[in-house]
Amino acid sequence: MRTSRPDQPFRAVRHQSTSALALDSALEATAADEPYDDGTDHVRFPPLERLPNATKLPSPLPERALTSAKLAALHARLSLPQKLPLQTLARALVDISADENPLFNNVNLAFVGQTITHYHVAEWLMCRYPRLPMTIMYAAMKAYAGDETLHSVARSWGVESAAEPGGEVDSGLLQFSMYKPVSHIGFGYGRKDNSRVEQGRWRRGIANRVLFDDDFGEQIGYDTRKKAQIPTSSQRTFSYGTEETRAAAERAHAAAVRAVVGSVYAHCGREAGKAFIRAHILSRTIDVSTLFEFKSPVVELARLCQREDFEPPVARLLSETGRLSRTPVFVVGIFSGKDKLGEAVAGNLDHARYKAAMNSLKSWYLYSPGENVRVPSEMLVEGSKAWEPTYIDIGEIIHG
Amino acid sequence: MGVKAVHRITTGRNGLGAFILQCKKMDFHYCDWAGSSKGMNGFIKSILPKFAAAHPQIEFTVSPRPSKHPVIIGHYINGRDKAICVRNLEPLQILKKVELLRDASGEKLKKVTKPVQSINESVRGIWSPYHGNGMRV
Amino acid sequence: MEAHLVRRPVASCCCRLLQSAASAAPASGSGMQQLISASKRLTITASPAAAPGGARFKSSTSRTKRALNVPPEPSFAKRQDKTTGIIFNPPSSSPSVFNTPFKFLPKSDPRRRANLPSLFTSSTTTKFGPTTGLAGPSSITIGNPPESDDPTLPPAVDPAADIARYRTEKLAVTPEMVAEIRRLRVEDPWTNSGVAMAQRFNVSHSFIRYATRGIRVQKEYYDDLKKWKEDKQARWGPRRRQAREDRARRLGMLFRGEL
Repeated sequence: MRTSRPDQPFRAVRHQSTSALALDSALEATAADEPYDDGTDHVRFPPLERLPNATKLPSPLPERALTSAKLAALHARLSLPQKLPLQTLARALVDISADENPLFNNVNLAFVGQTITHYHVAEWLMCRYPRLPMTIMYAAMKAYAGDETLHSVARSWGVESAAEPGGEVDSGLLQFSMYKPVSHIGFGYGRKDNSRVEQGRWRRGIANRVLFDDDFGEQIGYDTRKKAQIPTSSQRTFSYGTEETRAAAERAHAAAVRAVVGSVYAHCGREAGKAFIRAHILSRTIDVSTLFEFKSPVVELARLCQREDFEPPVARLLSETGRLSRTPVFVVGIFSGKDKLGEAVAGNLDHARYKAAMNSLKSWYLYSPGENVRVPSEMLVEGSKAWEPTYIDIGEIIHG
Repeated sequence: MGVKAVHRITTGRNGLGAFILQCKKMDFHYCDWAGSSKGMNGFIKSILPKFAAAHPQIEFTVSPRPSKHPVIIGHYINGRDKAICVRNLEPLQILKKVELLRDASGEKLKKVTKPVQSINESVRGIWSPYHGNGMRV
Repeated sequence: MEAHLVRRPVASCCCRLLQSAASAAPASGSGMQQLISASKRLTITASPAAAPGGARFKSSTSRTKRALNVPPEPSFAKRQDKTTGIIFNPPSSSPSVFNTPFKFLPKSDPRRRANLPSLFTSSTTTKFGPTTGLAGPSSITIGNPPESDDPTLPPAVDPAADIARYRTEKLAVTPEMVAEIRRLRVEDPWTNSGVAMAQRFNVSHSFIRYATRGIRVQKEYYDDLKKWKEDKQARWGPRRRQAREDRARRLGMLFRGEL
């Protein structure tokens, strides 16, 4: 309980929470010179506790990181090593839409984190599923390290966001603006004329994508998604719950996760960064066989057998029931000579044949040397065993 | 021709790689006047500092709630919260409630009837009537 | 009442059967015999036949439970002779795509080296015969047509389609033929459609597609074709339209693995 001082007419009469106590002592020095203004009407609504001064700064000062309970809790929840200071973690939660100054936002940390994450996810996927086609590899990369997934990761860490960014918000909150347009950070080569590609006049095949596009196979610097084009709406006419706001929130959360990864790498080194990615990102699971969408699996399988010098695939009826009834069932297997490559069950013969071909192709593409494959980055560790060459596939099945 | 991709995201498995404690914040509300809050006041003075030091991943807030029973509110990562009124409890009993809140996830209480809950598919696959030796009906 | 399940003996499946294909049929039959005798032994009451054979109703839950008991696998019974061995009990389920068939394993994989007997029992991985190079439109797979295959293998689903691929003679495709095809296509795209020309020249319609690559027919042809399609579809009623849309959706779902 404190009594009001004559020189401070709006001193708090009673502290509603203990968090205000610490704040009070920290701001006592500055209290005398600055009038207390938090943007509310003090005559009609006398403040119960002294909130931090409404500043013109776009993000809180780094010193505020030491007094934020949320930030310290986040640091401990992620079991971050003590080498990583709270100030860096606070900086990792400031998005570019909140603060444009690269010294105080998470852009550079996010870029470092993105590079490291994509490297480790890519090498793990390539070693684990060496025969995965490039389109599926892109989809798997996106499943593990894309914006939507990292948004989910951030939410699972309990990262809360501030309603509006500003200098007075708690350092432990993710700060971003939902209506401010922000430019993507990408690394790669841009095509000379992206509009031609959109019109369908320039072909954007796999080799082209590997060369020019980002790690998810998407064009850099030219986002055709409508939700990326955020309209410059003022705060007054702004509305929540639209596609643009959801996209902005997703991007900000993903950037925060990448920034945390980047800060772990920067402060604690390469192995700590790899361990962090393995624990938080690569521990997540997806059934890779659900990522496939085939167009003509029968032809593709025939091409595969031709390339590998197997006998041509023949669809054989393993068993059936109820051919003339309302719900027939056919079990069809695809055989190359005497060996069965795959089988499937369906309601009509054509579907069963397609499905069997798809299952055969999936069993080719999803070959894996094992779950705990060795990755090349293991060789950077001192004292690791001699490197045995991992299986490298000849490549995708080329058609036409 | 070629294989197209379907857009999907991965599912997290808490505890497999890193473990994230689901309780992220605990509010302790006490009252200086009410007799039901005696245990709570004692808890805050004696046990809470050590408990808070032992759980740095939880954010603790202590504030008075005058003329009301003492209550502990736990906030969880899935956005839900759980409140436990600790009126007329002794400090050690309150500690048990606090541990209950700490160990809970934010999910609603569900009756569990099956011994195993898993997202992994079975080792031998789902039984199919069209494979194996069949069964004479 | 027996469910009519037509079964074909299979030489090699995902789980390698230890018995030969020829004895597969009687083996399964004896298995069924064992099942029937076991279920007969389980009948306790004087009811006409034990479920699942006959009676659909039992007077109490425990009787129902007892009647529907599945006897344990005979291979798990206590062995009298005490010799050591391996019990092979393949699951009654579809094989998973994550189990790579032996043929698809790369040469460097240790599972291939560990599975040497499979190397000899499976068919040869390289064809003995004139191998085709990278596919050109004129080369057609040459090999044994399905009906002359091993009779222990199940019958082919669509022998006609496979026979077309297994042509034993190479077709005489000449540059003049290709030029003729291209000329005809430009001349009258309506009469000389892909299917019609394939029949006429005795090639596949894929070959016609390769041969006519790059040809731009008059724009009116495409407009007429579109109009013809639209006129046809305008005459459909709601049911037919819905049925066709369902069919297309079903195929899309199938290719995405949802069906």
